[in-house]
Amino acid sequence: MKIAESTIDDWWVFPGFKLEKVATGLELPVNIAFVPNPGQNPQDPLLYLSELYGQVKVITQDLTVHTYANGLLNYKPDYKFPGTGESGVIGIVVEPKSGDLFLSMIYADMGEFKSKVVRTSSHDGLKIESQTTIIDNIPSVHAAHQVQALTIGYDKKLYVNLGDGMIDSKVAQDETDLRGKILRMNFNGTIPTDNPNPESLIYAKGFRNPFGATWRKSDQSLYISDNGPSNDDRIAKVKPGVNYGWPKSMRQNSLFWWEFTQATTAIAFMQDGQFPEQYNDELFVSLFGTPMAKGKIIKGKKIIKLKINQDNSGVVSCDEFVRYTGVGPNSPCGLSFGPDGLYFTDLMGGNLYKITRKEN
Amino acid sequence: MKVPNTPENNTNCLCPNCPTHNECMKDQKLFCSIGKTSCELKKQGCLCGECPVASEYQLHDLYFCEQGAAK
Ligand code: SF4
Ligand code: SF4
Repeated sequence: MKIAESTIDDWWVFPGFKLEKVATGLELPVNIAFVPNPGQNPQDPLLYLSELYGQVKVITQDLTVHTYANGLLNYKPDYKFPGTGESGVIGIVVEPKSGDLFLSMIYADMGEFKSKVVRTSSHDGLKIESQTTIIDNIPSVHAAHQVQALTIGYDKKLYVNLGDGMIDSKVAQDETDLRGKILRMNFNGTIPTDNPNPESLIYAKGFRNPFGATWRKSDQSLYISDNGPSNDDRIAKVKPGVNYGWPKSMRQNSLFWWEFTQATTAIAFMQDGQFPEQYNDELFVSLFGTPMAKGKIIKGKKIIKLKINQDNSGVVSCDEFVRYTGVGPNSPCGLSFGPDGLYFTDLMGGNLYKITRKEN
Repeated sequence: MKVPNTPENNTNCLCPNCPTHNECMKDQKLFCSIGKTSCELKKQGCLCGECPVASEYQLHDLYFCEQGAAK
């Protein structure tokens, strides 16, 4: 179901760049996962999209949209935003060697909601053929704060962002509980022997609702976005064994925070030459805001870019890069750099957009 | 009363979208103003922390449906 109509004229883009629509008719598209080394045939997968209410779409090199998977949720979603409707299938990442997907989602189990991560396979990448559960049975909530972004590190380990589950925020500090943590695991879900605690999947703790994650080439490190309550959404560089403070603080060990919450979603570094040199190593952050508020509001509905300082202790600039200027309920959500530009989804509009440098 | 029971606050209240809000509570909302519910409830998460009414009146607590109105 599409909640908002959206055209390219509904978006302001930073001068010198242009916006185009790559795909439309998507159903609540959340995150974007590019295939790391895609084939060049028209029918080879270029990217995958998680759709909140239980689908995965694949877009091939000829820009055709195919349904890779559907029916991934075992409960009926309810379109209540913000609230119970904000949960479902969120995280997605492509395993570079096999082309398999890792997906994060919640599921209902005897009246309780739980988080899990699955691995799916397909011989041509176009249609799911098998599914294996990597990790499950993690208490969750039928709302945000569930299992979120999935990434694969330069160390070839799977990193899983887990929200605090919303019911009792103290779990974010409990090292026997996986909620409110960043997990690090082998591709089969087992604990790597070089984890901070070799008997635990926990890589770092003290997070509230860490929706976004990305890897930075220049320091080979993981960065995340994390959503505060009514204040302090933040960006943090994640270091092994470190405590990021929630529920006491959303600022502890953070790089940057917004006093007035903006609802940070996906994040990505410009690090492969898609934009001119002066944008190199800048972090692009999607600020989702209040999704159902119509038209222009001050909270979110934009993509900003951050320049991180040399010693990685803070941010030297924060600029608007894209802003929704339409009248409907719409916001950018997923965001990722592809081979030729910055791609983003608008959850309510059901579109995938691409931003590229304008030729003179 | 810290939070007035106005039509605007009623419209902005997120309670009906909340995982704790149950069938028995279906005609009730704005608990930060009206006070706790008499319905039985199981805590399943609270949206008050993300609510525009909570921002406007600088509320920092959660579960007003169980704890009673904001003071
Ligand atoms: S703070 Fe909670 S009870 Fe009060 S209006 Fe917001 S959601 Fe409703
Ligand atoms: S007070 Fe909080 S827990 Fe209770 S119904 Fe409202 S949002 Fe939900």
